[in-house]
Amino acid sequence: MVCSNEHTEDIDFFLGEDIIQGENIPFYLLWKGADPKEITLELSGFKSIVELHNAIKSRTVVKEGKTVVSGFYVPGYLGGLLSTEITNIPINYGSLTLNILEKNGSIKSLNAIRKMYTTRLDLKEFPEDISIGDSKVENKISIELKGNTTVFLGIEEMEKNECEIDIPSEVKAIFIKFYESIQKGVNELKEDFPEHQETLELFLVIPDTKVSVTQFIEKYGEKIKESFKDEIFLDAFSTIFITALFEQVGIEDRILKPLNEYFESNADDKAYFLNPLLQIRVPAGGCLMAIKIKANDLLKQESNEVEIKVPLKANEETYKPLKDLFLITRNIYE
Amino acid sequence: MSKIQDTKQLIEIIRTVSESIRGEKKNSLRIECMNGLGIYGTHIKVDNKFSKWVNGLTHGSIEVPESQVYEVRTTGFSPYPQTIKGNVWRFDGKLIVDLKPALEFDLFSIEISYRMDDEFLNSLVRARSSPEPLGDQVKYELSAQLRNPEGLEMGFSEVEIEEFPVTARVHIADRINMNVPDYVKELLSIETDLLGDRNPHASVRMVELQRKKTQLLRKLGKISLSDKIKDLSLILTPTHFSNYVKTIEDFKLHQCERGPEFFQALGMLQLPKSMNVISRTDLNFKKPAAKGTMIYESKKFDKEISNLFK
Repeated sequence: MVCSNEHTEDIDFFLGEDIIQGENIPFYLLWKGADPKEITLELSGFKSIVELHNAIKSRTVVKEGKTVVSGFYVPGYLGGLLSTEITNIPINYGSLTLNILEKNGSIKSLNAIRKMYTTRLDLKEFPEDISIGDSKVENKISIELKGNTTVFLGIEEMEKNECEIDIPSEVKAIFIKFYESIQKGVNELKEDFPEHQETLELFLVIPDTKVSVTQFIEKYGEKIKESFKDEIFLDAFSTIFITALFEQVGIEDRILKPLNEYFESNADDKAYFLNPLLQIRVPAGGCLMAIKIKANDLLKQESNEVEIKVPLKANEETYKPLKDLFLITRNIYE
Repeated sequence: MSKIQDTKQLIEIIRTVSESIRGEKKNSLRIECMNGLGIYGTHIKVDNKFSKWVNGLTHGSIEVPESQVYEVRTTGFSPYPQTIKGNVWRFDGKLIVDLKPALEFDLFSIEISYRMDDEFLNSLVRARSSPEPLGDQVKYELSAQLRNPEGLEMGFSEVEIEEFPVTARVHIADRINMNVPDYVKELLSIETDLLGDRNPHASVRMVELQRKKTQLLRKLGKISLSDKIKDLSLILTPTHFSNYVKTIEDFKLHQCERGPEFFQALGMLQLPKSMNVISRTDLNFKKPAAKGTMIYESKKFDKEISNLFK
C-alpha cells in the first residue's frame, strides 16, 4: 500500500519545514500498535542522516542509498536528523521516504517532500565608472538577491582597493570615547574579579574601530550574556557599559544615532547591511573601489560573495555612504 | 554547586541509591526544565517484615555526594500518606538520608533533586524552530523529540521532561522599517546630520537642513519625535509583543524576550531587531516527540505601528 499522506490515525510522520539550505532538519515517526519488523529510509536531495533516535540496529545499503532500521528501545518511535547542503539554486527539493515493513509482511510507504531555500547574490548591472558628487548617485551597482531568505550583507575591502572606507569620523569619535571609558572600567574590574581576568582581557584588545557603539554593544552583549554566568560579575560589567554610555555619549548619540542606524540598515525586504554607516572617501581625481559583498543567512552561513571593482570619479574630495552606491532588489522564487 | 552533566553520571547516582534498599522498586526521572532540576524518584515497596528488619539492620541510611544535590524528600504512602521530615543531614561532603522512619511504611518514595546542566538537557532532546517563515509568512514550525531514549530507559521506567523550551526568533526589524513612515526616517537622518555636522563653514547646508526639519515636524503634529519613538519602544516590549504571538498543537507559549542583538541590561530606549518567542512542550516515553506552530500575527503588529504615526 502506498500512502502519500503524512498523518493517518495510527501514524504521525513529521519532517521539518521552512528549511534554510545548510541546516540540519529533524524528522520523526510515531505509530500506534506493534513495532514494525524494519523501516527503510530513502533520501533524495538531503545530504545524509546525521542522527538516528531510538533505533537499536541500523545498516546502510550504500549502493541503493538506503538505511534500514530494526528494533526500537521505546515502542512506537523512530526519530532522526538529516543534513542539507548550501547549493546555488534558490529553491531545491529534498525528499524522505519511509518504507515500513510490518511483521506480517505488509509494507506501508510514506513520503515527504520539502523545499530548501537559500539566497544568492547576483551582480546584475555593473557601471564602467561612477561619478560621486553632492547629488544622488545615478548609475548604481545593481545587485539582485535571488531567493526568499533573510540576508545580511557584509562589505570587505579587497587588496587593490584605493578608496578609503570607514565609518564617519564623528561616529568613530563617539566610539573611541565610549571604548576608553569601558577600558578604564575593565581595568578596575580586573582587581575585583581576578577569576574573570581572561574574559576581561578580551575587552582590552582594541577592536576593529570600523564599528559604531550600537554594533559594539550588539556584538559583545551576546558574548557577555553567554559567557558570564556569574551574576554579581555580570552586574558589575553591565554597570561599566551603562556608565560608559551615559558619561561619554550624549543623549542624542544614545538615541538618535542608533535609531538612524537601525533604519539605514534596511537594504530591501529581509535584507540588511551589517554596517550601514560605512562611508567611502573619494579624493579629487577619483580612486578604484575594489570590494567584496558577502551574504549571510539567519544561521550565519555564507551563501556566496560578489567582487566589485569600479573606478569612482569626483571633482573634489567627497564622502558618500557606501550603501548609496548600490541598488539592491530581490527576485522571489515560488 | 556542581551540576549533572550527562546521563551516565545520573544513572551512577541512582544505582547507588537504588541498590541500597531491598524491595520492589520503580525508578522515575522528572526533569523540570523551568527550574533546571532533574528529580530522580524511587518508589520502594517493602511490605515484608523480614525485609524491613534486614533493611533496618544493614541500610538504615543512604549516603549521596552532597555537592550535586538540590533537595531530598522522603514520603510515605501506605498504610497512610505522610511527608517524612528531619531525616536528612550533611556530614563531610555527604548527604545522609536516614531511612528508618521510611521503613515504617509499606510503600515510600525517595526523591532526590539535582541541578541539571543546560547542555545535559539539550543532549536529551533535539529541538528546532524554523529560522524564518518561508512557506506561510506567519508560521514558525516547532518540534522537539527525544534523542537518546535508550540511555534514559536503562535507568528509569518512567521519564517526564516537563516544559522543554523551544525558541523561535522572530525578526521584526523589517516590519518596523516597513511601517514607520519615510518622513520619520528622514527626520531622524536630518537630526543626526545636524548633530554630526560641526563644520562652521557648512552653514548653508545647516540652514537647508533646519528648514526641511521644520517642514517634516509639521507632519508629526503636536507630539514630539522622541515621544513617538518612546511609544514605538513600548510596542516593542516583550510583554506587549506576546499579544502578537500564539501557539497551537503540542506547544504552549511561555514568554517573549528581546533578541540578543541588544544588550538588555542597558535598560534604555531600544528597538530590538528580533524577539525570541519561547514555547514549551512535554515529552515522555509515551510521547517521545512533539510538534506545533507558533503564529506571529504580523498584520496586527504592522497596524499598531503604522497607527502610531497617523
